[in-house]
Amino acid sequence: MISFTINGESKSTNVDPETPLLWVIRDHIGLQGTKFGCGMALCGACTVHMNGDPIRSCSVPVSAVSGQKITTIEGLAKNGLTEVQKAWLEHGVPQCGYCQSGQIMSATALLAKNPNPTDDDIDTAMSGNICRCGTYPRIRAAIHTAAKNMKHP
Amino acid sequence: MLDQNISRRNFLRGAATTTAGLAIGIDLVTNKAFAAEPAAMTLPNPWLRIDSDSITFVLDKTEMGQGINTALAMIVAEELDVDLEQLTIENAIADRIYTTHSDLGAQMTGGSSSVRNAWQPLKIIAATARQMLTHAAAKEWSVDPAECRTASGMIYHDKTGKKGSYGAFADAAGKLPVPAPKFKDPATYRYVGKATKRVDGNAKVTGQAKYGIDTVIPGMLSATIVRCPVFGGSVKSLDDKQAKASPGVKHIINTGASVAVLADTYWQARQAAKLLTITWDEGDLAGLSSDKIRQAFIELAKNDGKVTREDGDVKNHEKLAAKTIDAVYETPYLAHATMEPQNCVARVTSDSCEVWAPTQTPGVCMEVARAITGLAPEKIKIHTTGIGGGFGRRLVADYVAEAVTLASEVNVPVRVLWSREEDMRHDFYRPISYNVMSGGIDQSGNPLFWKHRVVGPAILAQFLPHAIGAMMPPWMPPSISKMMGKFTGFTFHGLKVDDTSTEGAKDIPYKIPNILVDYHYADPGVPVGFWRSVGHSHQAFMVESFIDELAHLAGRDPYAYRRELLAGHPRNLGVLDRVAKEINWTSPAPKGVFRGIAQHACFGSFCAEAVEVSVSESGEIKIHRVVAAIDCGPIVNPDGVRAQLEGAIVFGLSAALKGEITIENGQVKQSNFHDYAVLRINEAPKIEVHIIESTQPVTGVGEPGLPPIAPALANAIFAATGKRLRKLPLSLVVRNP
Repeated sequence: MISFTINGESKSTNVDPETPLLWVIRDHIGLQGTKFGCGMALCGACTVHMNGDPIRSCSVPVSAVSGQKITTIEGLAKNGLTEVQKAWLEHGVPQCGYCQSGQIMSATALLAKNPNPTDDDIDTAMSGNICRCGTYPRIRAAIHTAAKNMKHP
Repeated sequence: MLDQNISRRNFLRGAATTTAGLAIGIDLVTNKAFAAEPAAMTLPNPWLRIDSDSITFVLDKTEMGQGINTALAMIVAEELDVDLEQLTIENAIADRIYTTHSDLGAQMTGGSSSVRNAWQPLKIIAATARQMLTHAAAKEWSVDPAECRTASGMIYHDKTGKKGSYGAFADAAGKLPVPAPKFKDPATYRYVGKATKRVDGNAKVTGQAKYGIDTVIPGMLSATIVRCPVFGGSVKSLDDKQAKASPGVKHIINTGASVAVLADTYWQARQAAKLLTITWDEGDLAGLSSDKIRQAFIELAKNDGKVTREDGDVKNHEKLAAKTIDAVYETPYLAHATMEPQNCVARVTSDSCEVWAPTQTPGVCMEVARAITGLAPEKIKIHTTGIGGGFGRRLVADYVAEAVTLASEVNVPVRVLWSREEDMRHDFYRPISYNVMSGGIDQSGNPLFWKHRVVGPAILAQFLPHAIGAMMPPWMPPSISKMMGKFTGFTFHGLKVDDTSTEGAKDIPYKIPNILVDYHYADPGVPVGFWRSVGHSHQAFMVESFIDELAHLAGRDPYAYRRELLAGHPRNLGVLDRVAKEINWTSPAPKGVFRGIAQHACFGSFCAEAVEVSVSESGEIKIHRVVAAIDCGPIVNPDGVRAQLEGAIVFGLSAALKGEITIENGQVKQSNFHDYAVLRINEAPKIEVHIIESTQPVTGVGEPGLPPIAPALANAIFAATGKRLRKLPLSLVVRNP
């Protein structure tokens, strides 16, 4: 039995310990905001937080998160929307939206560590997240806006 | 085009009433195959349904990121006079009534056609509904309807102070005759033409938006399909003992050309699939390679092809040119690599079939389900889910056929979910092309002749009946494929000759007295399909690079040269001039920065792009800035137009700088994003989009932003280095062949 916390709730599972966290989150816990994109930690669509750090849940066996705190897109906002999500809306970032849960998780983790990121900081933190719709310019702008609004809400 | 001449009789039929409320439709007379007969009106409420507590807009186009849900809802909200938030947007199921796609005659989303096709019908539907509601209120209040006004879903008669909601008059309105629509004065528009936030933004930033992959049907099994890695191969022998014993596995189905593992969960199916021992009969394409394809194309290019454009007399002017230039341009196969891998859920019983598909083409899904199940259309329900990127990949319903076939086999709902590797290796790729070009200028530098020979496969030749393999997974039994051929022919009735192979090449707008474009159909057998902007996506690279070559041959400025040759093409000129102005073309670029420019028209829209690049000593290309201008007629949502241009440019840059599918031993060599790289945020330039004000007919914007970017970039690289890159992906570093 593997136990961990997800979005503040304790969960236990007896699936094959090698099962990637992604499939436990999606198919067993039923939280579908986290997406499957590549299965090889190459695209970032499956990004969640483990103790606040972004991880690619498609390539992390569920055994590795035993006792850890996992946050998914569904658990990001305590109520309403976070500043990152608000900035995403303000800049009209999403197109198909499939990668955006992962983008927002990566951006949120970046801003938690670096409240004032430069374009280079954004490039470094976000280059693991692919968007085929091409929303990158808006993602960059939205991160700057979120950074500003988090300081002066 | 749609026949906009909608008869009163047909409209009445469309405005059929349900037991309660007002339901408005429209009879879209498209072409002979799909002229809506009374029986074709199977849905009483195809587009707009108003009842006491809701106003539902049924979206018959697939929202795949392009923002069509928002744009079309804006049109409805505008003429119906409701707030956008008051509309409930529902995805249409597959039905012949939605055969609104003008180019292909099927219920599908593609060809930058949605706003172009829906603009007028949706205006008519919404404006008529508003009038009928107003008349119903006026009748009840015994007042003159002309004295009533509407706002935000309410009807007011100011003189008497009476007011009521649309919902309150929906029943009564449904019993009224259908008036001729009276449209709003565009000067009073609240939404159309104003930058408007997406209707699905909130769902997409909170993880609540549902895609195909999120479909859960109680009791469904998850299927992983192991396909022959060589296109067209089949199973020679199978040992599935170990896989069968793997946890969660319920069925293993050998379809002849692939093996499907069905388990309780995706991960179980995936793990079990690894335990299969399959030997393959690799079929006719074993041994096929990119190099062999290229050699065959080179041979073909030595002979004349089928002429697709001929102006003047190239042959007799070749020798008269003062200067000539010969060039070979090449573009590779490209995968779509949608973020959401292909997937589909199907439930099939003896007398019903229900499909949940992330598809651009519910109409084709219907035909696929009919062919496989043998059920009548009214027994089949096709649900279009949210989709994680389309780009043309989801115009093919191969993955739908897989799910329906497997669900028919096992009598429980089945979800087929592809891995990224399967997605990359079993795509319907952008066609490869090999192009031999020659051009000449006269003494004063003006073009004298232009010759362009295209060699490559044709999309429709595979997509249409004769090579139904493009529609169906390769393992489909021939009898079904044959049947599908018939259905597909029906579905795509009205389609004209395939011009996707030389589109963009044969419609070159420049004033050149002697032009010859010819084409060799050459299909190595690798599946090909529609890829954002289709033929234009690569042909613009050749044409806009080669016109640049002629400008330099003439010693002229590439912008000025284009300008002169575009006299009489005001919309091409309009976008070209705009980007030149916005990028300060006539002023020097910053030190170390170089510019390129290109323009291209497609799908009725006009686009130009200019690029600023720098190139490092080691040949690394850095794009600093892209400026784009688009003329697509009057705009519904300017922010949506900008987003589409940004997206098309990023998608086009991935193709220009990175994308390449290569074939080795009949199979695709690339498998995931490590060897099929796409643009990432650190490589994305600043993008500025300028929208030309236009009173021309409304056209589309999903694709036209893509074609100019590769040539604009190649032209900028030439300006920076003097090196003319004639092969995609563009690279200054010598690559292994």
